[in-house]
Amino acid sequence: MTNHLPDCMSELERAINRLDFYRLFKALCVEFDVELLTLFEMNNWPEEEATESLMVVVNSDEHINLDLDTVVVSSENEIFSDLRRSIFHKVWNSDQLSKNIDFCGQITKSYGLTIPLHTQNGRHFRFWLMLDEKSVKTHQANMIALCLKMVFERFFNELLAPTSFPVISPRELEVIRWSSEGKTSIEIAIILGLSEHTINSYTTKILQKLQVVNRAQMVATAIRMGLIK
Amino acid sequence: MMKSDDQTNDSVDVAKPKVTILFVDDNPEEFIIMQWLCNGSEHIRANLVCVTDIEKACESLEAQNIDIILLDNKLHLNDDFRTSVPVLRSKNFTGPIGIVSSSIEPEYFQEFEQYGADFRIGKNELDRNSLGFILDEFATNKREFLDE
Repeated sequence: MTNHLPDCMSELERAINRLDFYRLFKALCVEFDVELLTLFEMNNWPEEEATESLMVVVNSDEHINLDLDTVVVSSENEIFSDLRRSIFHKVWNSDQLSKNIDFCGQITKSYGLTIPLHTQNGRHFRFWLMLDEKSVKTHQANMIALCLKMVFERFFNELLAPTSFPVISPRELEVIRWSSEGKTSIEIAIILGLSEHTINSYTTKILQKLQVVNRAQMVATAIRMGLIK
Repeated sequence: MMKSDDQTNDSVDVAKPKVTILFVDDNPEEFIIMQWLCNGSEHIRANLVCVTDIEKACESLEAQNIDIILLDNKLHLNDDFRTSVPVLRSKNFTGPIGIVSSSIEPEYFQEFEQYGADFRIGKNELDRNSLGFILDEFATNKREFLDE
């Protein structure tokens, strides 16, 4: 065990899209022998018991069929209740896990590590990891939490954070311009030589930045703001 | 061109969405590994189409519906993805293109979006779980905007 950050953390500055962040999370799972990593937003829990995962990384071929895109967690859940209140990461043993998390029977690692995350604008997230005894020894747990918090900070800033002053990139401006001409995502993709997926990602980012809900409102707002004529 | 025999498990797999993957790599040994990765998917039926160069990839795009392209960075006749991705895009392919490479460290990889690629991944990072994430993220979760 060392006090140095793992080598894969040098990739942090280069992460751009969700797959880049998935690769980073996966590399950390391999480094620290973590079998499962999930990231959830906690703000609406327990009012909405079904929480959608922002990221799921399964680091084991045996559990490739584990579907954790949405997890239903009761308001009585001890682990989640603790996560609501605590600002510190915490280790859970196999008894506590099997009592509170119904899919834990499929997991071979016997410890859980929860890491709460709070952003400046009041949003609340948490990592939930499954790992073995060796990996949860205090220093190792501290290092895992530190690395995940560093990755999360960039993940949040790059992909989740609403911006109070929208900065529209030249590519995003092109998407707004072509949308204002009535072009669909596929047509814009062909014009710009990109994929439909990328155009839709740009559109989603623009909607977030301009705080609007659809493309018509996006174009109208862009005209009002003087971004396009 | 190598095609998978995805009919073998059709009776049990019929509920899974079918995704056609075009894999372009000048080393045919990589096809076997990719076939093994695709066969392990629990969530989709992967129909793998393998070709060794960009010309054959373009022919495949014209001949059939391709959902996603996984492209080796260095092919015989093309320098790297900065040359090959625009060729594929010139065929009006608007699906996702991912660059697969033994090393994604060179600085030019940071510009993958500018050349029309959607993601990059190292060959050593590609396992069944990461392939599952890629297909889920890029090939099956298609986002559409209501006013389009």
